[in-house]
Amino acid sequence: MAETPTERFEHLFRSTYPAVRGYALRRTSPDAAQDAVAETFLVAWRRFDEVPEDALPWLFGVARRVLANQRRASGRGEALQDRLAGGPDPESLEEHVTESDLVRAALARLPERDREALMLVAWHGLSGKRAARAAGCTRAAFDVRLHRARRRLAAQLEILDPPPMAANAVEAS
Amino acid sequence: MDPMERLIAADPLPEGERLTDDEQASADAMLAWILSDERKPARRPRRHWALAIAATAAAIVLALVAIDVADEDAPGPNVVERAVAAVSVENSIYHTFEVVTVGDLRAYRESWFGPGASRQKISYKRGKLAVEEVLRPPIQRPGRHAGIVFDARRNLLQHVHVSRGGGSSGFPEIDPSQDPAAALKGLRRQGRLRLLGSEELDGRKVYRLVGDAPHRRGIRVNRLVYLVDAKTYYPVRWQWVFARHGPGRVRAATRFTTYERLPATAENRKLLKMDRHPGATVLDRYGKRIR
Repeated sequence: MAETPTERFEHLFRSTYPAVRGYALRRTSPDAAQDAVAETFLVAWRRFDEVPEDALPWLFGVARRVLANQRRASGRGEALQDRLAGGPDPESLEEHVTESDLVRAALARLPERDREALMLVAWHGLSGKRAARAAGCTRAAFDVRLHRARRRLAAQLEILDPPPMAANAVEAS
Repeated sequence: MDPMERLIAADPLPEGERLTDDEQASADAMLAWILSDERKPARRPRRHWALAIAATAAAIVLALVAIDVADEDAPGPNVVERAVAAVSVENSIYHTFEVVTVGDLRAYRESWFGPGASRQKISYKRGKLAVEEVLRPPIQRPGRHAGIVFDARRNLLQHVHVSRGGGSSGFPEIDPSQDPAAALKGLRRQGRLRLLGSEELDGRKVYRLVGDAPHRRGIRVNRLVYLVDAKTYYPVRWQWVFARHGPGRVRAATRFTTYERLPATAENRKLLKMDRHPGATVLDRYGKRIR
């Protein structure tokens, strides 16, 4: 028997909710994430006819816009950077700062488009094709964006976490 | 190590995206709430999200918390006046999303408060998931008022009487399930709402307004704490604090994730009407089935 729209939506919700929630939690506070997930799925419910079969990139795209609106509304353009940076000041990293803190601090220093490209691939495990759909651009544009983002991330990591030789050179000079 | 490998290892959710039982319950509540929405995007204004909540059905419909407010000096009258004015524009419908906490119960609520009626959609979980829709007139006077409650779990529409007492000592009575406007206007009228200062909350400046109950035998019993956005003067949060012993504990709190004003046009007035609930059983106020 064919499923009703409600049943199909419920199936969609249950299969994608954890990933969409993870998307939001990686980018904002838990409370704001909960709000963003709810709004994302409400949009999906109201536009259910437009949701593609491979729904996750589409949902990520909606969540990205919802989060951007949230940040604009709250006047907290830097919220994501705060969340990613997780508190430590990249300029004064001390020994207790973990490798993860350092990498996230480097990520927080990148432009938003670069961060998004990197996170879609590294943290959400999307292929280039699906990540491009989530980012709202063509595959070719996404590949270029990702390539640049990787380079910029590497550069930031070099600055925040110089290799031992370079660090010694800086100390010696 | 390759930067991408380092980035993968720095994932802030290393446990992946598995849900705990509580998180699953929250997801279930959210799903039920969304499915209770009619899919008519053209007829509804855009909603910013959060979800709605509330307390128990009794708390939603009946829980009226009496706040008696003491006579105190009222510094910062401009802030008080603006806060009251912001929620009191005539010919308006105020649309809100709220997260309501009563004790350990958490619920999501979306409300429309307008001239002549209010409508609320509520999702909460206490043992079993429940979604409710409540339609009623604005309750500003003591007495019994007609309302309609829809229980999505049982597909049941019931006409109800919502009672409201007169409040003690002539002080305004505050209903946490209603728009803050009525309570604030009552407090302002009596000169009992005062500015306590400003602070930062979630990255924005808010003003803290308070109203205290009269001291009984030297003990303050209740306090209303009301936070408003310093730019819009719209409510951000309000709390009822029980202050019998020590600094007090929060009895109930409402956090507004959205508070917006819509003009009361004919189209927007439709927001004050109950959603259609096809096939619902309808009971009169005495529980007798009428459809």
